[in-house]
Amino acid sequence: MITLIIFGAGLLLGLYLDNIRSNEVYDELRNYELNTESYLVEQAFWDAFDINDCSIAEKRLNFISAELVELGYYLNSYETKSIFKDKEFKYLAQRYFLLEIKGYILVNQLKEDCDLQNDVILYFYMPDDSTSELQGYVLDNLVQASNGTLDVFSINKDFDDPAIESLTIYYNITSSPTLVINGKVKEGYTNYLGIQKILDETFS
Amino acid sequence: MIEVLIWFVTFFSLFIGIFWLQVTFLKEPERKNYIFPSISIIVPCWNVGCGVWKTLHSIANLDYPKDKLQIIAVNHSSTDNTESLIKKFIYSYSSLNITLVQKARAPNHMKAHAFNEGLKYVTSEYVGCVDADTIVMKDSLKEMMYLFEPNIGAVISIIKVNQPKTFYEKLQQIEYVFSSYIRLLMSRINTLQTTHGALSVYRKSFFDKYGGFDENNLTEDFEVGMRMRYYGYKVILASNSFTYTFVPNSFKWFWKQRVRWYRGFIHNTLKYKSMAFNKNYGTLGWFQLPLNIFSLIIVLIMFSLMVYNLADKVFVWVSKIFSLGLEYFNGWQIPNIYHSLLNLNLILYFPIIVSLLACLLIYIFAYKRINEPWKFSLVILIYFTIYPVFRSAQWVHSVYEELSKTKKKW
Repeated sequence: MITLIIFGAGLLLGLYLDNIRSNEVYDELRNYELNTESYLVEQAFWDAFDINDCSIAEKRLNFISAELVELGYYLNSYETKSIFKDKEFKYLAQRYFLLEIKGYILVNQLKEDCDLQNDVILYFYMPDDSTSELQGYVLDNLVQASNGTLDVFSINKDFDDPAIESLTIYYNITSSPTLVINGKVKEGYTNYLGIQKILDETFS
Repeated sequence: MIEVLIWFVTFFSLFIGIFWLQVTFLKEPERKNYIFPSISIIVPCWNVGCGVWKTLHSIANLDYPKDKLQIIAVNHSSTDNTESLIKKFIYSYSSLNITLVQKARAPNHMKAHAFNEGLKYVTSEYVGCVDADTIVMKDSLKEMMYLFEPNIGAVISIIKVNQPKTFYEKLQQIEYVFSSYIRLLMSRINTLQTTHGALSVYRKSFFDKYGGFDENNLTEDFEVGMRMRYYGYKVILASNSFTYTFVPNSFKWFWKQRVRWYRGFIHNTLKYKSMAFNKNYGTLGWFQLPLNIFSLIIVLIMFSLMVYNLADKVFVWVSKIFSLGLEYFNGWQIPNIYHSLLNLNLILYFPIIVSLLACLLIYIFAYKRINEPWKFSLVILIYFTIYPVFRSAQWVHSVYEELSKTKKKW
């Protein structure tokens, strides 16, 4: 009986922690959505007055995409621990991926408008897959070493969402991990030096 | 699937921890008046050298009427000075009733064979067995004899490690405190099913009726305890009887001894498997023996999970280093404490933490009850963290040897 009570207490504590986790992710996502909206409003303002300040826009977008990467980790990690909030985390994951896609589009638009030399990688992964985990680790290190010149946007390839499905069809993604490096598709795991080589080639 | 296994193991461990914690609060039986029936103590000796003198000397100094005490030293074809030391002892303690039995020893003859030979010379109602590397305390025997009620087949003492000096001896010291305390608790709920060689006293009539020690058994003392329970006798622990023994002081001998013990445990559990889940054997049948079996299964599961997890982590770590080269070391960051705490799987960790606390409490009670001085050391830390891994590996080794019927080695 005491054992059951202790397990019950553990379940209640887990449920409480689950609530905190989902609220934390929800608040962070709301912030990023607001920041993205604010960025779009700002861009519309500059466009209305025919002002083109690429450096400010670049800084704003870099900040949003870097923070999104961290949120992605926490979301993925919290989702695996959750027992009672599966649906809620799935909903939050969907909002997160849509933000990632929006970020990817905005960065590419900014690259074109401002003729930036930044690199952009769209990363399709599979959850609970060690190869995808390793690929993610390599990308983290690349982003850290890039000093803000590389943006990575991660998408769960098999997530049930029409926008993600459109992307996988457009880029013809059939397996994971797959990288879309500056528009070029690279299937399968690619190591640190391999990605750097591709980035150098696309830059040149 | 792995998570389900971890849940099951956690639940089981927690249940057992809380169960034994509850048993610690059971009242101990009241001490009765001492009685001093005749007893014969057999000391099987094979190449024990100076150890035999200390053992015999401690037996001679027991606070027990000397006219009720018979000592039978069985020299099992020793090739060192064991025989001469026994003869010297007999000469020095000529007032005592001491018999030296010379017995030829074939390569496969072990302690059980020597003990059974000594049984032929027993003239008392009770017979004790003391290993030739054991020191018995003055009061140890008299604290045992008054416990012999008609349904008691054997009474065992509490074993402590004699003057631990090396790392392995200190590790085993902690282990002996724990195991002695668990035996004490088992005795309280009538589930004790083992005797040991340090000092155990048996009812002679049991051997007359059911035979002596099993000479083909790796753990004949465990087997006789099981046999006694099988035939309806109880085995109990005398909570105020203390003996000291020498333990292996090297990794090789330590490992070898444990694998022998665990093999013996498996073999004898299988030999008397009809007692398990059998309510005719009371708490022993429906609780202790199934617990023993489940505990072994859990040890094997946990060891497998641990090896798998470790192999997976090593593989990932090596892959990361190969992928990143020197960049691997640049990429390391201090983890965010807030998010690390939020990331805890409390549903699983909470019962595990409570299990560990229960274990710690039992550990504290054990030290107090066994009257063993406690001092924090690195060995204690290793005992609770790294040593369980080695124990699991020893169990896996013993399961393998038992299943593959590897030749028995003592």
